[in-house]
Order: sequence, then structure tokens, then C-alpha cells
Amino acid sequence: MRVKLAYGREQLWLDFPDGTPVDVQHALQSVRDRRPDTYARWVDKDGRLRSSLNVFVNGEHIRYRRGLETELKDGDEVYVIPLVAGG
Amino acid sequence: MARGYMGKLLNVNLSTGQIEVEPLDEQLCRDYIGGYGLGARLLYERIPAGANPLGTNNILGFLTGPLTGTPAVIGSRFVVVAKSPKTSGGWGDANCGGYFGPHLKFAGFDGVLFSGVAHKPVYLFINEGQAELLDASDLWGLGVTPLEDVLKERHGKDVEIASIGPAGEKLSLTACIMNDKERAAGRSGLGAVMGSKRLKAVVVKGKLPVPMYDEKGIKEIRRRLLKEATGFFDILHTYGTCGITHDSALSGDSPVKNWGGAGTVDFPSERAKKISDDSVIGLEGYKAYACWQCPIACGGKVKQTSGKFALELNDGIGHKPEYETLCMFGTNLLNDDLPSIVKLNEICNNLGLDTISLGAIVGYVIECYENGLLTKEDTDGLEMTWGNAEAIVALTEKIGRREGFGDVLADGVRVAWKKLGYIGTEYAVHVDGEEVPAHDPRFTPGLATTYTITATPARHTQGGELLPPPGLELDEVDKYVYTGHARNHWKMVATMEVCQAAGLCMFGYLSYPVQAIPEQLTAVTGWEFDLEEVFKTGTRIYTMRHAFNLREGINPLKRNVPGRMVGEPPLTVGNVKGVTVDYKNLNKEFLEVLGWDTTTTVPTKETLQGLGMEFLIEDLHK
Repeated sequence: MRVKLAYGREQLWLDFPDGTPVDVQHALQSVRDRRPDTYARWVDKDGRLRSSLNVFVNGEHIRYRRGLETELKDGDEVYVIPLVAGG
Repeated sequence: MARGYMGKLLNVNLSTGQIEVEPLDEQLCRDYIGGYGLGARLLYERIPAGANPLGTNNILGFLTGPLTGTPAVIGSRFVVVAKSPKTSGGWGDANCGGYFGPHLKFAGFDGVLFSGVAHKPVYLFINEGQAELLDASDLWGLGVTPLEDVLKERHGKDVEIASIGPAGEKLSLTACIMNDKERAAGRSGLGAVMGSKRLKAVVVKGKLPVPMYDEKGIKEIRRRLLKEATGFFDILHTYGTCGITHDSALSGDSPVKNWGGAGTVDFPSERAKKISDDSVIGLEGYKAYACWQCPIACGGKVKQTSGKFALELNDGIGHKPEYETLCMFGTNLLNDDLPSIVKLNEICNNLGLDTISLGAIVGYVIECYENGLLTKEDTDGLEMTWGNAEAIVALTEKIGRREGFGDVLADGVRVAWKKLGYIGTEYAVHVDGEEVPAHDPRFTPGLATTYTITATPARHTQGGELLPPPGLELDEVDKYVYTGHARNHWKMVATMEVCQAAGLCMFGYLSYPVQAIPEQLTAVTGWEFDLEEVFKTGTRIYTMRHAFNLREGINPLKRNVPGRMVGEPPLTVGNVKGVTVDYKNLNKEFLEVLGWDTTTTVPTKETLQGLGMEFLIEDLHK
């Protein structure tokens, strides 16, 4: 299965073996090797994913699903939203 | 005098025409750095309590910081300070990039303080240490863009200009002070203060060097920092703030339908994309724009010479709209017509209007109209419906010129709500008169504290959870658990105070390691700074601005808090559905960390002593 992950203007296609259950946490961690700088912004000093991450699956905040344990399916779009203020 | 400063302020009495040079007080600079900090300290002494913000006793200050005009990353900023006519006569400030700030220093001064009121329109011309007031009668009424063209023709292309447009002249409380034609010191209604003084512009010229304690060192730091760009650098460098519009609209960060809607429902992805990132920089003739010596270059110019929203100034070239403008005139009004927002940006910049306030006012009007509280008879025939781009453009122009119905709206949502007989109270989204900017506390709850407690309410650029700088050690806290945030909030607020007082840009603060702030201050001034000292100095500045309000009888806990801003009642759809922000507890814990009374908000005597602010005890503990 294939999932699209977007962070700011970075976009990645993440491939996972068909039939393997994949959740949001799994998808985010799979970025660690491919984009270590990006991944570093998502974790605390102990390497855990920050609970404050703003993650959306198909436009809906994972808070309204099962958080980082939200299961993904083929074609899902995961957005990690960087916030910045500006005038 | 410490390095980084030109060592001089200019005091201009507009009533008498007298101009005096005042040596800068070194200890005040050490304690308050510059910008808002120095401004609040000086104006607390010099403006009598209870002064009319639009009267002779108010003082309007243009101030820089020690890093303005130096190689520090990014030292392009200046601030404007005064007693605000907009927020119940409290403290007012706004800051701005562009080119004016550095060139004010190159002209020989760290700042200019204007007192009194001129008998006729004037402008100040500073030419490398020499200042004179000149007649501006022939310039009164000009928009910002033609004004700058005239003044550059008159004084040379190498002058930089801060000015007001017709909105400021007409004392609109939504008026800005502009520079480089389209950069705005937008908030607190300071354009009206400048207009009340009949001061049309400040024109600066010069090439004087800014003294630096360790010039080689600060240049080396700059070279190193440019390679260490992190945080939000990429998105800002590529798009500017328009790069976040789509994502923020859907996430719940942006106001949608005057704070009553939800992006996922009312302004879904296909609409949000039309006013975001690639759509904006894909406009005809897009070219990046940088403020003075800025490596990020978040701004940009675009060309729009045809269609019903063709630009009329600068041969059809205008600045691209940024996030706040795109949201307040876009998501907030359900308007996905990008050319109309480019046009609205031109109108606001030329008339000297705050786009945040204008988008909020128009949102209020539309919601009243849609709900039958206003009719075409009230709106001069304009059909004020959601997303009606032509009507939105027409009304904005009327507000800027105080024409017809625009005159009722020109002083912001709160004044309009009163003039219209208190209609649509829940649609009037402001805190103590200041319209709320386009970041929603229901998405970033810490913003509720920023918007309600800071000396200048409803300001997204005053530090806090929205703006964590790279490398600042913060506690890991769930944003929707309304306890335990206060120390994080304090650190970010204090750091932001120093950033802005130093003359640095907030986007540098978000794009380079936070350690750069004390490191650069030390290299330029020669004073030893570390992060602990930054926290303490920032707290002192924050307290100074607050003290100005306390003396005016303003307790931030008594400010109105719009229900929509905090989810009272909560939305039932979208990505912030069900959220009600317990801002009262967030605020209480923050006040405890600051050492302020949790009812009166007066800093305790011990707090003031710890900050070296004993001089306030007599005033605040009567």
C-alpha cells in the first residue's frame, strides 16, 4: 500500500507491504531514515513523537480518530502541519 | 555608550517646531534594549496618565534596536510606539521591516519621539544628523504609493520613508504607518496617532556606520547562521507566509466565515488552494522581495494589469498578499478570488490600512447582512454576502476613505458595533477594540493568553505557543490540557520581547537557533547576554508595557473575550470541533509564573524588585 505524507512543501510517498497494518506513528517513523532533519522536528529530546504534533489524515485531525494509532489505508494522505504566523 | 546604538534620540515638538537631540541613556538601553522596551520605559515617564491618545500630550515614537542595521540575522526592524487610541487608551505598538529602520540609524538616530500637534501638515526630513520639519500641505491626501514617489523625487532615491495614507489623516483607528510603500506597522491604531499630529511622513537619509563592539565577530556569526537555517526557513524562503494558508485553513488555525465556520466544511481544500502557496507565487510576474539584508526574502511582488481587479499603482505591480491578508479577506469572508485579495492588499497599503482589522470589519458586516441585521440601505447599496469579492473590495475602499457607510466602520469592529446600535454582538470579534488576527486559539490554545494578557491585545506576534523558536527548551505539554503551559509561555513571550526590542525580525527568530539572539546581542553591544538574561530582560519589557496599562486603569482580566475565539460555544464541525479553551486557568497560571497578582494583575513588590523596577512600586502599589 502507498500513503502520501506531506510536511510543509515536502511530500513523500511511503510504501508498505500490502496486508501489513500501518498506523500514523508507523508512517511518521518511516520518515526517520529518509528525512532525518524533518523527523528531528517531530520528536522530543528523548526521541519520542511529540504529542503536540498537528497530524491530519485526509483532512481530519487524528485527535478525532485514534491519535497516533490511527490506522491508514492505501491512498490515505497524511499531513503534518508546520505552523508559522505572519502578517 | 555601548555599541550597536547611534547614541542619540531626536525629540520633535510639533506644536512649537522645536527639535532637540537627546543623548541615549546607557542604563536604560541595558535594561530595556530598544524598540518596544525602550519605548515603553520612556513613554511611561513622558506621557501623563489619562492623556488623550489623539491629543497633544501623546508621544509617537519611532525606535530601532541595537541590532537594527547591523549584520545580525535579521536586523531590519523598527517599531512605532504611542498610547493607543484603539485599545481603551492603553499601550500601543507595532513593528515593521522594509528599509526604514536601518536607514533611521544610518541617518544618525536610534529613534525619534514626536510630541505636540503641528498647526499644519508637516513631515520630518533627517539628512545624516540634520533634521528639519517641512511643509506637507501639498502632500496631505496622497496615498502612500504616490507620496513615496513624490518624496523620492524631492529628496533623492536613497531616502527611506515612513508615512500615513488618507486613513491615518482621517484618524481611522484601523490606520497603519507604512514604509517602502507596502510594509505596514499595522496595529494599535498608530496611523491615527500620526494623523492626529498632522505628521504625514518621516524621511531619512544617511550612510553613517552603526558602531559595533565586535564587528568581525558579528559578521562571522552571520556567515555561520546562514548555514544553520532551520525551523521555518524553507517555507518562508519559498513562499513567504502564503505558504501556510491552505494547511492552516483546513487545520482550524485560520478563521473561517468570521470565526463561525470550519475550513473542512466551509472553505475546503479546493477553495483554500486558490489563495495559497503555489497559487500566490504563481501569479503573473512574481518576484521575491527581501527587507534590508534579509536572507529569507519572504515577500514578493506580482503584476496584475488586467481584469476587474487590475492594480492601478506602480504600473500594476504590488506586493503579494501574505497569510494574514489572505485569511482575513479570504477564508474569513469565504472569498477564494485571489485577484480580489491582491487588489485589497493594494487598497489597504495605499490608504494605509491594517488588513487584519479590515478583514474583520468586513466579516462583521457580512454576517450582520446575511442575518438581516443590515440591509442594502445601510451598506450604500452593496450586497454584503459571503464571498462577494466585488462588494468586499468596494466596501474596503469606502472604509479607507471614510465615505458613506465606510465612515461608520473606519474605527474598527468595536466602534462600528456601538455606532450600529450593538447589533450582532457575537459577530464582533475583537479583544478590547483590537480585531483578532488569523490564528485561532481553538487550534493553539496558548494564543488565548497571548491575545488577552499582553499589553497590546489580540496580537499574534507577541510571543507564545504559536511561535516556538528552534532550540528553545520547552516542557512537553498537551495543548488541550489547560494546565502546565505557563513556563513555556513565559519563555517564549520573554524571548520574543527581546527579539523585537533588539530590532530583529520574528521570522529570523523562527528560522535560526534561538541561541543566536543572545550571541548576536553580545557581539554587537559588548554586553554579556545568555538565554537566562534574555528571559529576565524580556520579562522586564513585558512588565513595563503592562505597567503603562495598569496606570491607565486597564486590567487585562477584565477585557472582553469573544466567545468564538475560545469555543464558547464550541464548533460542532471541523478540526477544532468540541474545543472550548480554558483560558482562565491558562491565564491564572501564567500570572503566577510572572509574579503578578492573579486578580488585579499588579506585579508584586518582590517581582518588581527582582526585575530592577522599584521605580514602579509607588505608582502601582498606592
